[in-house]
Amino acid sequence: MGIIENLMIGFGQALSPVNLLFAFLGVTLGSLVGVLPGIGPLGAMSLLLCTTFGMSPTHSLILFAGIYYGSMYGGSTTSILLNLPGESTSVVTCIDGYKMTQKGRAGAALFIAAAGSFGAGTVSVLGLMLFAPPLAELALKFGPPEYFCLTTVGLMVLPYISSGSKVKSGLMVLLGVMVSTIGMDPVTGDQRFTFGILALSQGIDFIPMAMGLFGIAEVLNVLSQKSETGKVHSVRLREMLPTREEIRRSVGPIIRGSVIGFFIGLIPGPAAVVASFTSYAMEKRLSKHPEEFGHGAVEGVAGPESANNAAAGGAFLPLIALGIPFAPPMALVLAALLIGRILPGPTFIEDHPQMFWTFIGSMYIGNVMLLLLNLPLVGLFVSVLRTPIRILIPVVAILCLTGVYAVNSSSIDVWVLVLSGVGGFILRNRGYDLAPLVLAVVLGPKVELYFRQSLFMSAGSLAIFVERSISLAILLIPVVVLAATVALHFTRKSRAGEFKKPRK
Amino acid sequence: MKSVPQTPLVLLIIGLGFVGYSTKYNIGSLNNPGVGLFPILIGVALAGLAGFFLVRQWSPAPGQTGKAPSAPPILSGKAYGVVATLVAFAALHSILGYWTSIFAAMTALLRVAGVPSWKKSILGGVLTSAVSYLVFEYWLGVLFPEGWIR
Repeated sequence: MGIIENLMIGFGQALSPVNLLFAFLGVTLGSLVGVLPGIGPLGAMSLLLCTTFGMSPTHSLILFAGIYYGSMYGGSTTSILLNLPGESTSVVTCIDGYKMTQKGRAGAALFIAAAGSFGAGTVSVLGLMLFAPPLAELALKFGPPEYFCLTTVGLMVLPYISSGSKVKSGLMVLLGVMVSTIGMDPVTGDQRFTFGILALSQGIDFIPMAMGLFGIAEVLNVLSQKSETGKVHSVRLREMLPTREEIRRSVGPIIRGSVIGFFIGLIPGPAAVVASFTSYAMEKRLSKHPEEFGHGAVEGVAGPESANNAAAGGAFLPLIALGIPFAPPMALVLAALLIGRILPGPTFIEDHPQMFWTFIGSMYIGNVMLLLLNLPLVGLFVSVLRTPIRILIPVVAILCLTGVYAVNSSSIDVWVLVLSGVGGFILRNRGYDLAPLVLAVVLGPKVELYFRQSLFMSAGSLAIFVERSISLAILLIPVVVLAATVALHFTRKSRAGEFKKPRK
Repeated sequence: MKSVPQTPLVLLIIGLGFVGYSTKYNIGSLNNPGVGLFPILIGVALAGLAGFFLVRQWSPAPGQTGKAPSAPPILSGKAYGVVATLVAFAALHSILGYWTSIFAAMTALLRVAGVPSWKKSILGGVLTSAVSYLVFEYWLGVLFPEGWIR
């Protein structure tokens, strides 16, 4: 069957009342957590993980996907109206989005952000639909050495794409891998670093750690800051229409942001954040009016908002085709699928075509729902921000405490939540990026397992990683990218005349 | 002279401690890697990178005055209150029972976060634990520690 026939079947399934309900629930919750500080898509998905025990895996997938890409929409609302990013992916939108609000163009900025997000969401679903099947076919040729190279390169790339110091991010990656070795050895099942505590034998789960690092740390951060939430601007529906000039200037950034965002979404780590910053830098460079950036340029909203949504869609590709979660929320999608006894990976599309195409169909529908929800109901989502901090913060903390216990019914998880919350607050305020830490906890056991399996295969020869063509190609990708970046840097410098010939 | 950067120092100690503890396990060989091999490699890498970072931060670069960088933001009084509440919750929830602990934690958190009256805070605590119980235990069927209520 071809793509079109499969897609039609997928749409048929996705349009069933139950699937529509889960898509609606997902995108609504996603928009809501995108607006709220402290509880992002990761927190919301962690809280809801215990509900997936009673759901079909298709419903879990639709719900979690909706939360993830819905939060990208929600994050832009607070950036534009309050200069307060609901999500890290919307930080860059604050620059020009809030300036547009100050100029009385808040409605237009919200419209452009929503339209860009819709366009990008559609492009990323298209990319997922076209690239997932061939990538899954290629991944059938992967063995432990290839998977080791893929996961290791993923971890090595993290410091380069994270915000702030590369050394600090590298330290966080190593710390995360170290934490991941606590518990049962993935090959022999022996206990390691458990210090005789039985509860540690299952290892340290990334869910309480992520909820602590992002949820509790944010609670402490908000309480440690003196500033209160600023005035929330009201936006009427009739004020939302952008001018013809604003639409004309947004089309290019939306298209470019969608394409670049999708491909950056395939990279491990906080890809949606990187995508939004890359798009902003690119639009500023390509613009005929770069001086307008930082003063309310519509391109500065359209590009990054499209890019972060496209990256959110792109992040599903490695999970579905390879079975490897390259972003922390994807690890939760993986957990939900595993609860439903579905193992994503190279044979996923072949084994569960109906689930895959229903998911694709629901993502298209979810994007339409988001557009319909976020434009007319923007005032409703913003009204959540009028909730006083003194109420909001305890609610977020209690949600984290309850949700974290509900996932594994483990008291040790409550300790992990609290300790990683305090640790995360300290590390964040010292300029350490926490996303690499969480992702390293997720990928660490896989790296070790594939490393040891590869060594068993090669009888201890490390050459196995360069002798096999696919693993060598994976290892060479970052080398080629690095070489190209250095070459580009020197080419630009020489063009700018920085390398002057010495006088004779 | 610059003050010793605390975070890389702590990470260096953790890395070295990890390497030391890993030697208790079977390291094996490349042919047949044991349980301790991978943790040792990671511990060495962490200690090495933290040590490099420590030296780089500690030794004043040419042109720098050696003045210590401004201190990062610290926990405020309210945040200390939240940390104390969370630690107490983690320590006591299995003894007091989950929903009793949620009630106490919410009441304390509301007070710490700035709700001025005890009456409102207690009401908030009761409502939160009741709603959480209904959603998580009654509706979703998740079992939580009963504590002394049993």
